[in-house]
Amino acid sequence: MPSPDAFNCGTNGQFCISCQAGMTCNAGICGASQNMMSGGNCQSGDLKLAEMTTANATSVVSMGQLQASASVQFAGQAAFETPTVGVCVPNDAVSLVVSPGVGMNSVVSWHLAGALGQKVDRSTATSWLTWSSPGVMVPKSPTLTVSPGHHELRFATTAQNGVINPSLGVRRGTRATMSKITINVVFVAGSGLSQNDVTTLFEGSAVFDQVLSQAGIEVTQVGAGSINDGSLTVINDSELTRLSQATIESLADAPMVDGAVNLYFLQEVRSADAAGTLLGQAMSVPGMPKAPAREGVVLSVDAHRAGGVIQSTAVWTTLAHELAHWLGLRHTSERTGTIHDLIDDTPQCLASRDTNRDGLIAENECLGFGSDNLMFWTYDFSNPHTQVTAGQAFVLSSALTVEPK
Amino acid sequence: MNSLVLLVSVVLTQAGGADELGPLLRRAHQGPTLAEVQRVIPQPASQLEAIALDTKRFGIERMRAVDLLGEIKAASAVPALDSLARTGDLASLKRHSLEALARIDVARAHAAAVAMLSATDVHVRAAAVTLLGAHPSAAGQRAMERLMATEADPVVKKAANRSQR
Repeated sequence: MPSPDAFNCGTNGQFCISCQAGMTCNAGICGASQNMMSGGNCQSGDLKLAEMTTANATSVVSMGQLQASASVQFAGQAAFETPTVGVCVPNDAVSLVVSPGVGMNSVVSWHLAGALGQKVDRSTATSWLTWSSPGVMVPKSPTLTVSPGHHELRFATTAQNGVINPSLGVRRGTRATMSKITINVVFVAGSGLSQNDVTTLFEGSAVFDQVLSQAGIEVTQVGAGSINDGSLTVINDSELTRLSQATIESLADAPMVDGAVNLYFLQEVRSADAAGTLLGQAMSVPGMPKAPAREGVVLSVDAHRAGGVIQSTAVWTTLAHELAHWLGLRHTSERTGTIHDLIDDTPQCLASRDTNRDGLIAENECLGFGSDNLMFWTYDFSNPHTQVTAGQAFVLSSALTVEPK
Repeated sequence: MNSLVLLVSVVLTQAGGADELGPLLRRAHQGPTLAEVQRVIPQPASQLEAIALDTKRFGIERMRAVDLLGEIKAASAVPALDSLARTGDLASLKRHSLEALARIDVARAHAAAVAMLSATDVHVRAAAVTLLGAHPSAAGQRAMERLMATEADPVVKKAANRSQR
């Protein structure tokens, strides 16, 4: 609680309820007003997002090149960190996404001012993953929301003196109960999709619409395009930058929509590690429009064929789950049952439910404990899980690429 | 193609329990490890083979089944993998089968790869080129030279350059 002295205080750093002219009280701290749209405790030298972005819109701001030279420990491993960048988040920020840029060894650490007021715990891989990897988004839940004002960001990489080109995505305006999103479907040459397949493809999209509708989100526009580079139709998930940098030819009848989420249809996406063939993958969690390698979702077409026919419901089940990742949702419970999302109302399936002791929490072991949720760690598209909680709906409707309807 | 149909009917008749593996094989994010599969069926080769050959199943199940057959070096599955590599109904399945075959029977994989140098799918051709590069032979070299005299696709050319290093 602020002391009585803090009322009408005029000094930076004191608790306050109100402040003298020229200063604003934000999260209990008086600070110089940057302008009407900036958090009150911002500091000179902060990147002033209110001046760099557009009101009632989503903008992506480059943070410039940063060199990582300071030694730091991440989950017990040596890494190198950039200097701190101060960021002033405007009062009308709905969501904020921090992307460390291209390079999977880039990680982000940050200090959130205001309501959270805490540093990301990076002492263990588990605690760090819970918060940040590989990108960071707020809100993470209805209680862990974006707070206006001063934030501090630092980025780390395993390469000493490595150069990082991070960016910040900011959505300003209001979060609405009824929202809209636009998508682009992008077909890569060699994916094997025939004209008949494309016609069939949209027949099962009801499952996708049903998932989004639980968050009050409607797909209002669909653009389409093609990538005429057959080398991209079979790729590893470590090569997604190539995909997002490829030239897309817009279809005349349904032109590509600027800033929409891209859904890429490939013959096969393979994991660079032991996971092998992937059904699909969000290019980043969370994603960011127009950011290299982070701008959408990829889907393995051959994986979704049965009897020679593309299985449309399966396709859109995969896309719904991966899009939800891209919009900021994590798995309700990860495979071991030891990591869970930060949303209060999502069911957790704990490791103690692993009754067959195989180290994995399976669907049948988590009945009633989240296995019917859209974001359970695994799903079977023969029996799609579509449940979305109110907390998850809050995050989805706050996402960068979602707009009030 | 007729031989493949016959193979499918024989294998499907012999293999029970394949249905138990289906959900595991089409699992999102990451397929099952061999150990996970063996917890369901200790000797899964015939069931995996049946799944690989079953065109009614999802492609993801079949590709992962093929990968596991290669991992367990299932000699009994060589005819099936050879057929899938040559005449499989999905380009991805052909590539996976070629790779699995190479883990079990190099000579058979070699012959299939030479045949697949004429595949219409560039990534299947590239996989065949990569396999021939990994297991060099005079016959393979001659087949590669014939292909590269006319090959225009950069994906295949890149695979050939990589395999000659």
